[in-house]
Amino acid sequence: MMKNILIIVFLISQIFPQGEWLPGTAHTLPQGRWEYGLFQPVRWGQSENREISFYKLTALLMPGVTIKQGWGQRSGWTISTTHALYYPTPLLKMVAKPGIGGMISPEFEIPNMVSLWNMVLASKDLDQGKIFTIKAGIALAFGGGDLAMESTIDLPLIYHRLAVYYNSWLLRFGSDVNGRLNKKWTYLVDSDLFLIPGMKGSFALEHKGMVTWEKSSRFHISMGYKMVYGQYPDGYPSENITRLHILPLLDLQWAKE
Amino acid sequence: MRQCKSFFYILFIALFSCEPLVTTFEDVEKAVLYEAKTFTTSPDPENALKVLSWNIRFGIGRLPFFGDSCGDRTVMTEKEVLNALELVAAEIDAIDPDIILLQEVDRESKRTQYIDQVQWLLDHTDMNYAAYASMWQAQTIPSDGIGRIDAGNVVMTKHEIESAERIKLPLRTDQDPLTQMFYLRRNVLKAKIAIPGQDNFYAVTVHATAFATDDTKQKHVDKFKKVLDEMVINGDVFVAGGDLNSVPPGAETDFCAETDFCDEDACADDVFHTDTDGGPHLEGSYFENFPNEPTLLQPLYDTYNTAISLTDAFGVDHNTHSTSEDRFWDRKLDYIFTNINVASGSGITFQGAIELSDHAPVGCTIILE
Repeated sequence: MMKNILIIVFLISQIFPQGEWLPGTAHTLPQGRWEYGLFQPVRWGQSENREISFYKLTALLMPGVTIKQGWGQRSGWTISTTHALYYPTPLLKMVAKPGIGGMISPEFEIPNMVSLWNMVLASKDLDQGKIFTIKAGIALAFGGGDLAMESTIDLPLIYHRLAVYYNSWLLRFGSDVNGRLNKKWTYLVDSDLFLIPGMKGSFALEHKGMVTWEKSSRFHISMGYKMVYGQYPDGYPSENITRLHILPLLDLQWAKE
Repeated sequence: MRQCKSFFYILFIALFSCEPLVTTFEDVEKAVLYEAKTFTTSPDPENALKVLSWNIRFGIGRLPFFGDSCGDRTVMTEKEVLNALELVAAEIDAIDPDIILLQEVDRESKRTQYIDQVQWLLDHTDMNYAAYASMWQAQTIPSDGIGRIDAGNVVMTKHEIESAERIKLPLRTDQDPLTQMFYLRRNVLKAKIAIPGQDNFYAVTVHATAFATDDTKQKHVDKFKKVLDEMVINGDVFVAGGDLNSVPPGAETDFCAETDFCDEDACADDVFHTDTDGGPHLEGSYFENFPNEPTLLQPLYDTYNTAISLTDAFGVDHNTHSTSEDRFWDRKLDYIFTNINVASGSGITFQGAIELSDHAPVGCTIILE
């Protein structure tokens, strides 16, 4: 039961890329501040210009850590980089099983693999409290050479994130706009593009719209939608198929200093 | 376990709330029509048509699929599937039928690398047109790594298909709701074919349930016959057939036929017939799950002409199925029926195709009036 809950948390957490694999803006958390959500990672302001984040619930199944390092300001842009390391092997081994919950056929061997996601983020403060962020990065994977191409999980959000282990590398670009509607409500609109050159299902364009109710500086409720327009593997007569999915979002977040 | 299933149920409903995770069907729907990339000239039927019925096991030959042959594999490679399809296409061209009734044809399934086998077979044989009706369609089956699936029945022909409909068959009632939701939704596929000189000619195919332990198979065969009977009332001409997953009527009394293949089909470590009442039985290998099952096909034999007569159906020369390539065909599950005449002696079971599928093709020539 607990394993299945962890799988569910992992799958749902993919809806919130701002937290797991890509922090939303170039700003880091203030030193000493902790933020954590139902599906978002635990984030910790380790210093004034460094933030560390990780998923506590899935830490045993997919150990990973992200460091966001701030590099100060350049021409009005706040610059930072993120560096994330993931070890997905335990999680993938767990879902490579017979019966219900088997997302990968048990016939496939899951090797030891790691991925390294590196991003550059630049955020600019606009008028009326809006923050505009652009980002670009590359993910590299090591150890996936023996992974059978037939073992992919061809689902939105998951296929293009795990693609790095099959293709050894992928590119990711994105932009965010964060803003405030009034004293209690904020919004986020973002887009992300995954490019996996040389692999079937070689792109995904993701867009998210969220509003957040700030009950206090320590508790937020976020809701919205995620739209995924992605290419997935197909067979004769065409190599790829494109599909559109729209998914609901809901998360609760807490913070403490 | 129940909580676990419920959790997954909720998860997937949530994840795919804007698009159905599992495709369900109306009582009657239009079937999907196909055309070959290039056409082969349709021959003049000359008052006769050669017909073939074949369950092609989704184009994987005898590879050890986990679901039906004690296998340990769910997903085949593209090369494996194309190799198997090449052999199926070669067999079709060698037999050279005018109409083929196909079962277990994949077109958008991860297990067969998403190859649209309907289009592939049209493009690699002399057939020109096809109609497809799905019996299993889902964005993902979250079990055993099955993933995305779309598999079903096909009518394929050299002559134009004017229209085709998918007629829904009842679901199994011996499954829990979650399993039933993700399970097969079988159908009767009825296609109207433009045969020169014929006004109302139909080809009909069905794939009845294999694994139900209740009376679902009775309902499937009854519905199939009802569709045929209605065509007779309408004055239509038809050839119909498929994988009925039923042994010939009278098998339980025939000295060389069986209704119980549990021991033969059992995988290593499987144990059957341990209860005092003779159970449990291996799903799909036992043909006496309900009182009338051994004589299920008698009304079809009583009403219509058939490719293989009932007398011949008990002969080993007309067995059409075995669960393993290592065992020769050991039971007959595949049939062709028609309301017009079958050319004398034309019924044939192509038992040489033992490496191409777990079912042998059955063929005959029907005489047009």
